[in-house]
Amino acid sequence: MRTVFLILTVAITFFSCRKEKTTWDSDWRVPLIQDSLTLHNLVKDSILAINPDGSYHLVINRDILNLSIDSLLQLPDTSIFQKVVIAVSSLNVPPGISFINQTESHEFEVDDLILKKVILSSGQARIKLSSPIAAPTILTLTLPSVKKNNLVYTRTLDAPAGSLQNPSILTETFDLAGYEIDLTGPNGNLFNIIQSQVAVRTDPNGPTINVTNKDTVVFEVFFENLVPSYAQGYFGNQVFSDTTTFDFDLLNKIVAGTIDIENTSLTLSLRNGLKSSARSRFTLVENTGVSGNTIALNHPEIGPWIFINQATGNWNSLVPSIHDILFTNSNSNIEPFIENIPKFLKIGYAFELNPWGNTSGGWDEFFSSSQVTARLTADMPLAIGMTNLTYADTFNLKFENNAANFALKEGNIEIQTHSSYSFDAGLQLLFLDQLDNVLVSKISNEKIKGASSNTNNTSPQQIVQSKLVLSLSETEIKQLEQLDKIVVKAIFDTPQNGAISTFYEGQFIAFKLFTNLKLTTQL
Amino acid sequence: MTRISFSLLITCFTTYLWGQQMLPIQHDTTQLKGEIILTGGVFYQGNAIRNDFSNALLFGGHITDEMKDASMKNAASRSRNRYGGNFSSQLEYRNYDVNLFGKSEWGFLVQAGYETFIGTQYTKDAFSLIFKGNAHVDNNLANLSDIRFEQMTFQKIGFGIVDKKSRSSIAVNLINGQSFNKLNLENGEYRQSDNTDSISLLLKGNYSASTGNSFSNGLGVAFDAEFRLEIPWMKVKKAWIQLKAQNIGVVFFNKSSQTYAVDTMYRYSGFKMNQLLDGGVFGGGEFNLMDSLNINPTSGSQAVWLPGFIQLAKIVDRANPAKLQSFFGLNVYTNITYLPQVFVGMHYQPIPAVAVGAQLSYGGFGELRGGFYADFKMKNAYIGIGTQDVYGAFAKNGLGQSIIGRLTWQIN
Repeated sequence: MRTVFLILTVAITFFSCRKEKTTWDSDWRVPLIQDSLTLHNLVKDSILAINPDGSYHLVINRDILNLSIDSLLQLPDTSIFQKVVIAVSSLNVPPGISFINQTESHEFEVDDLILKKVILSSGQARIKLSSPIAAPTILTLTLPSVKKNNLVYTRTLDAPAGSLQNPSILTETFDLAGYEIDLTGPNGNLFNIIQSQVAVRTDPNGPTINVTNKDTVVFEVFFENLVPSYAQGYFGNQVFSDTTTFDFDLLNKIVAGTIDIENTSLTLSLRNGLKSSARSRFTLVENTGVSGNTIALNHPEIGPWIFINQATGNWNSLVPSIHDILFTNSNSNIEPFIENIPKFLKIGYAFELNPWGNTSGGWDEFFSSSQVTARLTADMPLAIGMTNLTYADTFNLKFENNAANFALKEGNIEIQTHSSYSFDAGLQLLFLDQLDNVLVSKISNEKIKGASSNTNNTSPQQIVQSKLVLSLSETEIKQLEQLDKIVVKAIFDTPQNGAISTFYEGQFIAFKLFTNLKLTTQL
Repeated sequence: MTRISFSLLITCFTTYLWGQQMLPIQHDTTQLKGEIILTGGVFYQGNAIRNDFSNALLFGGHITDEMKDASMKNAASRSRNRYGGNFSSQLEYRNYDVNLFGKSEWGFLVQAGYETFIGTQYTKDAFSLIFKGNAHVDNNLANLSDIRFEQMTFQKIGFGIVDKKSRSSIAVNLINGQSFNKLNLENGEYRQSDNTDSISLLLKGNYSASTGNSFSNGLGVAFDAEFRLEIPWMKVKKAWIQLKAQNIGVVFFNKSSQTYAVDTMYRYSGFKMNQLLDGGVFGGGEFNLMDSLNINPTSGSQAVWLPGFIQLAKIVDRANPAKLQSFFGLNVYTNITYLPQVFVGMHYQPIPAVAVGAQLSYGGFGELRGGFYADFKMKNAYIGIGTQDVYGAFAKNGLGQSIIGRLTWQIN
């Protein structure tokens, strides 16, 4: 009896105790990416153009300096002030009778500028009126030299009764957009002069009132946030200088390697859209390449001042004055400058307005379309030789290998490509932890092969098929538990040890990226 | 020592043993004051999955490719395969000494039990996809239609009336629903291209489950009934016919139960670069497979039928002086994946204290199997232990295993 119980107990207990978890491995092949890349995918700017033979050429038009009228001519906030009072000690004024009408000229204070005429694209005038007259009055403010569509600005305000101790106060703001301000004074031979006229009359429906020479009506007009669309005068001797740095986003991700180019030329165009004398100079043109090497662009016109004639024409017929600086292999080091593969381009410049003072007698003009620009233009064949040119991009990526009941045991990344480009491309993946330590580095066993029929440089080229595999072992998968980011590197080489190859329209890399994973399921 | 072993046995029976239904019920007409019946058992069986696979799946261990291939080979010839099991134990006290409701022929019973039931119907392709992965899908096509899975774990406590003479009984049980999972994939198909550069998944069906790890996620009610009828047998002898129904009822799972309904065709051939980079997985975005498959979970209470058990059988009469008796019958779970099972066997009782039996059964989750049991009488106790699958008990290429135990303590 005891034996039976004992055997049963032991057997059942043994059978019923679960010792370990259930696991099994399964193999999964999943397409992760399927896409096709062309140059247009990589180069988002519209700088690619196509030659009649189908080859690409680069057309670059980029402003590296752009000064418009609102940066060249900045009008400060200013104000005018007018007090009016009767000339006699005391006066009884019947209803509806005008008893004050005075006009004054004021200086329009705009620092050192000499302005004859201004047309405003935006701005406000804030009017403040103060009247101590002890009965309601009607006050009219007129600015005879401020017009819009040939209508003089005038404004009538009903002032309530006030007192010397507590004058009635009125404020009002009006928009100056589109107004033309003539600052030449009543006879048209001055500058920075603006006129105002104030008239005061009694209320036609009110009583006869008594006004004394102590009843001073005060008008103030504050001109604020004025932005001109046209100005005439002398805009001072101004110097604009700066050093600007340009990032090349695409090239920024090239981390190593060399390129070879030919038939390269660049043009730097200086444009003066002001009807004013000016000169300009480039103090510095240099780039820092992917290798960290900094190289300066040398040319006879980099450094010295360059005089730029003033623009011609008016409003819609304005023609800027242009001065081109052409960079070629014969007059500059443009080729090594570009072959440095610039990550950053640094340009120092100076632009001086009216370097010789007011030589025009105050007849300089800025129009709304007036700009001072320096534009970089290039038109060159997209032909490039590449040797170990390495493009790298970093993506944040966590790897949690204990999600739910599944864990990655081992696997590989398989890339199948069809390429019609002439270059070869290898692939490297760097798996980094939070401190950028390399956990695992994988280099593809094969390269994406370039098109083999590149001997005659004609398009289209033969499509070449390739297959790359990056395997991850069980040990490497465990190391990826610290993964924080992944660096994808593509290493490009053109045939014949970096010979120059031409890029053609229609070339592409079609690729499929698969993951072949052995997953361990655990229950 | 006896006390310790018995305690352990009760513990193991009540915790880990299964399915008393497979052990031939033996009728005993001895006049008793009462009985304590402890039953338990476990079985799992299928028509394709081998024991080495099942053992690793159920009791832990690594399922090797060899195990998978052998089970897949078994599954290859059928469009649908079955697999399931039951894990149960029950303690029952019967009092024949009282006259319930003043009726001299009625006693009462109280019972408490635990049961986990699992049943599934699957295709070979689904098995391959789950256990081997899509890299091994034959002909780039996997049939996933008409796949079902049911699981329920519950406890019960009940009270009933017993007929003292025939031992027939009827009981009502309060059910605690611990968990359930229910999958019904009406229509499903997985396809992939030769290079696996595009895949498609057709899914139409639903899955519902209880959520949370709490002991109680729902309440229900169920009835047990057992009717024993004495009939003439072979001219001069008598036999007992049993009609038994157990766990016929329903559990109302709470409102946090979730249902996932899907009716979609999903095609996938990899992401485009801009999908990954511009707000995609590498650009701060997220990919949600559930959204892609158009699966929208809903929460709400659910009524779920219990895995009821019904059996009609000629059972063994333990008090019959004949040394050799036959038994046979048919049973079924109220579960679509469990086919009706027929069984037939012989019971041999050389001396009153010892009996052995052998049976053949066909159906259920599996096919033809041979069983064996032994029954011992010691003073007031009967101890029975058996298996429904003798071959499966020893062979790793068997298609199931079972062990059944019953301990009856008679109170005179």
